[in-house]
Amino acid sequence: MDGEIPEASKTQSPKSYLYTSITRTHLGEVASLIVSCLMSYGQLTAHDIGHRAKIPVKKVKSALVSLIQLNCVFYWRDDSSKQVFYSFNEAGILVFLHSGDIISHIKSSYGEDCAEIIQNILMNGHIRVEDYINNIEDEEQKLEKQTLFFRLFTDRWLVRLQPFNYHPIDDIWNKLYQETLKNTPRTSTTSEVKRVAEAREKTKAKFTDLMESGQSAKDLYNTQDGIKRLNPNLVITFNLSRFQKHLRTTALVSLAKSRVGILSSRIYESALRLVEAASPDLKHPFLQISGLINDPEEARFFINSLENKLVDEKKIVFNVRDLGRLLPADLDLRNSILTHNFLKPNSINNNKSKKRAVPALSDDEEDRPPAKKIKSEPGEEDDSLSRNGNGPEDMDDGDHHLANGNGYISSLTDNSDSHSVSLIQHHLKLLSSGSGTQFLIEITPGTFTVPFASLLKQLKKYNFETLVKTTLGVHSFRVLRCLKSLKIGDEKTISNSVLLKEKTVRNELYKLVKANFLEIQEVPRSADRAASKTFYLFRHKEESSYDFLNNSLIFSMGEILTNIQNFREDHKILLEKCEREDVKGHEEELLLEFELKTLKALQNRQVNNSARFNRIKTLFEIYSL
Amino acid sequence: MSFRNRNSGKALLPFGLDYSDVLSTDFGTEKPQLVLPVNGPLTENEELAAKQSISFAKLMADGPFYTGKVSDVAGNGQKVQEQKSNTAPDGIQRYSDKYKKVKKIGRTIEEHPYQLEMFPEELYSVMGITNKQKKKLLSLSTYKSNGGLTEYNVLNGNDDDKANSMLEKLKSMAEELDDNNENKDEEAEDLEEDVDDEFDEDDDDDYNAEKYFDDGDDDGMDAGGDDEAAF
Repeated sequence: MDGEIPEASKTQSPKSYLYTSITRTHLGEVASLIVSCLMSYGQLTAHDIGHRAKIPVKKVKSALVSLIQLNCVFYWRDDSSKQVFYSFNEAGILVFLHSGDIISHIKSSYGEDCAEIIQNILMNGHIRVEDYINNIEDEEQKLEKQTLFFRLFTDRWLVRLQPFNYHPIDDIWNKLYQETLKNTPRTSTTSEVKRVAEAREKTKAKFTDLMESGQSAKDLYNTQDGIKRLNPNLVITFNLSRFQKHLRTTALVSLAKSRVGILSSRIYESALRLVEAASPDLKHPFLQISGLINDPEEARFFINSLENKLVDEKKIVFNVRDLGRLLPADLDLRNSILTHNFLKPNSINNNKSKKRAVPALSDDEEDRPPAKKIKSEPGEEDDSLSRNGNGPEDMDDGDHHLANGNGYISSLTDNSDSHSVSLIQHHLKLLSSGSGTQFLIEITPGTFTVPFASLLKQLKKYNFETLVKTTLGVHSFRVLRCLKSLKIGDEKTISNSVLLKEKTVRNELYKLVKANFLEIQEVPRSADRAASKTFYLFRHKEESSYDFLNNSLIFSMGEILTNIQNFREDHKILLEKCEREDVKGHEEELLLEFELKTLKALQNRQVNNSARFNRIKTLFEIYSL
Repeated sequence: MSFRNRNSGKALLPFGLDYSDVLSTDFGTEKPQLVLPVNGPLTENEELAAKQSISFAKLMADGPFYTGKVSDVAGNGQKVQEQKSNTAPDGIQRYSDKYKKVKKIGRTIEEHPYQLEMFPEELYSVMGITNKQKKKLLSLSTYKSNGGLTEYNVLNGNDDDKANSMLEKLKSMAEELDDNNENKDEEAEDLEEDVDDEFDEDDDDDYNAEKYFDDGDDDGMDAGGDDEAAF
């Protein structure tokens, strides 16, 4: 095994600890030292890196080639000094972090062949399509692989890589901005502020054009023999932001599961999958450029405007019918929603006139009372209500849900089909207005959209509160909620609001302060700031609490990796023995019984630790969204 | 301080605390502060994802972009000795080294299809790409007036000089002949006797004691009887 990473990498920040640990296991000590240097110093030339890390320049350059190939490093050529400066790019390391999840998700969604392609692309950082296809000899397999490439590309799991993707975003912006500023002459009519604002707007447009360049259909695809294929000269890489959208989907589905119910969450999962590829990016480049959008209000406005634009363009809007087609076959929604026909089955039997062949919005329905929607316990088979044997014959076939002017679904719920539109519609209604969190917004009857920006806030809030409740106790949770509503308060006010003894409140406050979730505000009443005459007020700040939680999680992940490294180091001799070329593949013949048992125990231990690493990573993903 | 009036003579308490808080602290048995969650067993998906991430890490470590250990690299700009990467760090070569996998660090453009437009030019050298702007030079020669042929300095001096040079030549030839004869004698003697090299007969026989010892073997070979005692 490789040696230890330097202490400075561990102590300078939790992120540095985690990233250098991952780089060491995947790419070796030299790469992890370089990553540690770049994280400490920001931008360095190759000579500087060699000097600070005490590695010969040739070795540094060789390692930089590996790091650039794997998208772990940016570079920027300074025009004035003609030197090349390197800086750290966390995208490559995050791909290593998520590698296990990525491969298993692609395998479950697209199959093993696609998973193999993705694995090879992750291993090589970026590839040219032609180079990959040329590795295969069989013509039929070549065509198959090209089809899979096309599929993954259109679903945006793969993305085109261009040289400007290797330049730090700040430097690109600065260059464009300086050029634009130079080309915007000073005039007597416009003030400097206006001129700067104008230059900024022009630069934003230029920047957007640059980012979107090379993405036209002409550049990406070519048609051969009537089949549309990916351009073989394209350099492609794995699209990490697409995977982050998938992580967001998973987190939102879990939230829906805990807030609404299992069946509704499965429907919600299908709905999110429909809009996932087109959903807004988690990090827009404008928000990453330092100094461009400083005001948090402005940032919020910008994010909302992006989302509104997507809604207007119908990119994150879905229809109930589309959703019905995408639902998994094993999902049976029958009897999951209680409506009035459950309560009064006899009235349905008498109403033969309800049999219709054509679904339509009809005025005849207005006299029918609106359906009462009572949701049953999710997943439970309620036998008393399953007496719907008379239902199917009298019910309308297929998708006959008819809405009256009030927007209620007033028709009979169709329980004959497990994926009937009316049942789905009921569930979607639940998701949009059934709980405290608005998971969906109904823009027009039958069409829904997902409010990503507000949901992310809710997601972080609910997860945080659940953590506090389960870790610090129910009383701490009450005190925290109270402080959130009060904004700021002292012990007495809190104690009166939460109805707990002051001593208990004091203990809980201490726990929360120790966990860095509360801030203390000192309000002195005397000139000498004597402690006896000072009021102490408590306040909760969300952003700093989330950051602290994130850092703690990252540190724990780093510790797990060190733990794995340590116990493998304890059995170094045995593991090296297994790596020998004569032993590999013949372990059962050549190794002793107890050695095989030790190896099995080691493997199980490593798998367990990796799974726990992934569990902590799930929470980390939510707070880095 | 205000609380001095309240608790005269007794221990001063920090602001806000009561006696019960202070006295009830039990340092013997400390209750755990936080109830930590117990990790449940792994689900199938979790196990699969964990196994994939372990195998991916292994693939990367055995892959072409692995950068190696810092200890393989000499610091201070010394020339790095090309050591076999499968020798253990302690420097002792072992029999099992031949079975260890050799990890090759760094790949040139012949070994991996690098996309050159993505890399800065200063890294081209380590990728095995020579400077494209380097002009290919023709191998040129210079003009020499005499064609550059070797000049042999032959001596055209006096007859004396000629004679002297002849004499020297003859002397050297004679010496060579003498040397050859002596070598032949020595070889013959070597074959007869079983002698160490140190005790080879020198040309100078003065110190050869056996020369002075006459053991009578040769007396019978003398022609003529001379009855004088022989020494």
